[in-house]
Amino acid sequence: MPNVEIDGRTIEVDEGTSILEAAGQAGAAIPHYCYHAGLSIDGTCRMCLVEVEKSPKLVISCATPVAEGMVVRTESEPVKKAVADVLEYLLINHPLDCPICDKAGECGLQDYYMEHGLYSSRMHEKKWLKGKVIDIGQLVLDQDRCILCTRCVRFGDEVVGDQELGFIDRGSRKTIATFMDQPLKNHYTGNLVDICPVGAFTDKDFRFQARVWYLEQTKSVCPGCSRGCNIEVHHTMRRFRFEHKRVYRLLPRYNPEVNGHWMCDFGRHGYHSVDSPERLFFPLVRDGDKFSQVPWMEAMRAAAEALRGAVEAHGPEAVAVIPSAQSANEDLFVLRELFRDSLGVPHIDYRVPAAEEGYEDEILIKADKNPNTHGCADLGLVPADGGRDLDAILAGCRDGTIKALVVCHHDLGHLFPDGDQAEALSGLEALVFLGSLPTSTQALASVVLPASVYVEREGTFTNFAGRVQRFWQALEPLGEAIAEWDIWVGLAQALGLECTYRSAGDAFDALAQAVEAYAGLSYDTLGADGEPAGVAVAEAAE
Amino acid sequence: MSTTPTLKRPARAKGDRMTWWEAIYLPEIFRGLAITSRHFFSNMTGHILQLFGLGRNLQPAVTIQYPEVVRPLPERTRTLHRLTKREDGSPRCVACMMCESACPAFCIFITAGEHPDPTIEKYPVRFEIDLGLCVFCGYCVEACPEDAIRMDTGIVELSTYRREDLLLTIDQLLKLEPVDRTTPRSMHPIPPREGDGTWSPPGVEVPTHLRAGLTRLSGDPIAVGSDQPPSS
Ligand code: SF4
Ligand code: SF4
Ligand code: SF4
Ligand code: SF4
Repeated sequence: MPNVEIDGRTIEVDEGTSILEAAGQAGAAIPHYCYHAGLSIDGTCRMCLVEVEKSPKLVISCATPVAEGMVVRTESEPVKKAVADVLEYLLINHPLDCPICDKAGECGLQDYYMEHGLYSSRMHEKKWLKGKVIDIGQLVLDQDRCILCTRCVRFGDEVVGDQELGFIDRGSRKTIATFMDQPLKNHYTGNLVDICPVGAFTDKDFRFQARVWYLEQTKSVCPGCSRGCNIEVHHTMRRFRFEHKRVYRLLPRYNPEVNGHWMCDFGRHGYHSVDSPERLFFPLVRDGDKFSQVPWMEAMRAAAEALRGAVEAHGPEAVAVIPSAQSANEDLFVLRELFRDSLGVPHIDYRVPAAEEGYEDEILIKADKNPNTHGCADLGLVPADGGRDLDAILAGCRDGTIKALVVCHHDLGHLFPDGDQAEALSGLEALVFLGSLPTSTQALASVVLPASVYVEREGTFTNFAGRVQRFWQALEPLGEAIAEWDIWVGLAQALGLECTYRSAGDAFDALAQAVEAYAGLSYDTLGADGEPAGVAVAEAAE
Repeated sequence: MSTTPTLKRPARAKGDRMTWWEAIYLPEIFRGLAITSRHFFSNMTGHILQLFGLGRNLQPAVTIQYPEVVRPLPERTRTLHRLTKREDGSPRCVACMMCESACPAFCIFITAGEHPDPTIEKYPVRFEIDLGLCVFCGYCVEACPEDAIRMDTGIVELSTYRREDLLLTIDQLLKLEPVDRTTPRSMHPIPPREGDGTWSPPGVEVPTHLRAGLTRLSGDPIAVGSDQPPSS
């Protein structure tokens, strides 16, 4: 492996590493626009010029592989001058829209100008004007701001395989465009906003909503499908008082094992329900035709009494639970302990079919729109011996053999093609609903327990490939919602059972003890990238 | 070489006992009366002399009959904000939120909209300043890249009967004019709020989702049951 000296530091890197990447490993940041770790090398922007000893002129570090004994200087005077010159070229026709540009604050042009440019303009000529505010579907294109780095073009070619963007004209008039301003049709357009070093693309979802420096970042996992892309939640409380909005955007977080650098548009824009005014904010208990809002203690008591009543009068066979793959592993584990292990309920089935078939592609998007189906399966939330599956549970509700039903998150409406859900469930003595958003099933419940959403709590999801991934709490729950595992703990205590989990971490560690596939995992060491479940099992088998 | 400055203790620190001279009370009373009388007679003498055109260099104290008479303000006093306008009367503000970012009191709130003219692109649908929080630091004026906000209305009388009225909306801010320094300043009322507190270019409907926060102005609680934002 070659040894290189970069700014006086000698490091050993892999064969074929570019100078730019080697410099990154050595801790020297080389400015660049066209280089992106997730795309091929292009070498168009000329920002990453460095001085290599014995080379007659500066070389572009992104496309020059290191060689044994190479001596590289990234901060010498010729390099600084070259970078400033490139910046000056890029700014010849740049509109300097910063006050109204959503990229301001995280813009490559702004950052490098402050670091390396700092010249005053020598241009007397008028700027060459290109198109502004061009509607290209989910994004708005501003051709003026483009610095022609081709990242977006390569993204189309290499990641989504759809060459929608390209350049037209040459020289000063060279312009990024879609054919005849047609809208982009792929499902990964949001990534263009992220990878574009300037503000040429703005996402209509985030456009003009906030300035980027308002936003705090919290690591999380996208709950949009079973891929479980690693994300960063960008949120602020600063404008909540007026706008009732806390989460402003989701950005992908690099994880080579799951999503690489990208995420899909469905997931990216899937956060709106988090701040929805429709959310279930308070525990509700049925009061004739409507709900009355009650304190948590009272709702817990009502749910506990209903469940205890059904179990005592008709035995645990009269109770059924429909957990959801929207819930985190911790929630499912406490639910399993409470219903299956303590109450002895045999009818547990999480496999509620989706109302419509989910879209799937070869890149990231999975048809299963639940983040934690794998976790449900790992925990065995399917009927035990003699237990009823979903269809039989619903049949039991109709014929009166099921007296109490617990439903998590689901909207069961589509399982009743005749639209007779209300009638079918009317024979129940108790319908306990746990969830964050109202559904047609929730509207029929006798007790509603409001659960906090994924940005308001922490926990783990297991993605389709069995990777256990942690998400972190970004915000306080709205209203009186609390985390699902905590609701089950409260309900267990209201039933007089011993249940002492004090945090999601507690519940996960107990889960790791109890479930074979999770053996060896620990909440604290799970880390930001997650870990595959079943490793300990596989190792033991070898 | 510098010497450490020594602080002189006052002769009598708080809590010390009174001297015998102070304790007998009357001498101190007369001393106080003497100070008051000195001011009274010197001011009266000054005013009488000036009445006859004498004693020009004296500066007897004056009482200004506020609010009938108002003092001229120094030229650079920071007074109530206003939003400046383009020639066509639309706000110069491009909703860049620099002022909102700079404001140390977090009292500016802007909601941006999509302007039909692509050369303007962004405009403020709502621009609110909560004077109940404002500390009149003027940072918003300094921060503005468009000279769109100024504090030159000459208005310093900002009392209202209701706290909500201290929240100025964009229509109020646009109606305010710079102080006219050629005529004596008079008391200005803050222009009343009109409409729903939004602005939009002619022919552009304010999108409903941008009206969302306006319930706040009418004092209705927002959807979550408490109008306090949960702390994050
Ligand atoms: S792309 Fe960057 S430099 Fe250009 S207007 Fe936007 S923030 Fe300013
Ligand atoms: S639009 Fe952005 S990503 Fe595409 S070439 Fe221009 S600067 Fe690069
Ligand atoms: S004067 Fe200061 S406190 Fe008042 S709005 Fe401007 S920046 Fe905020
Ligand atoms: S800084 Fe100026 S242009 Fe920007 S939002 Fe404030 S008033 Fe408007």
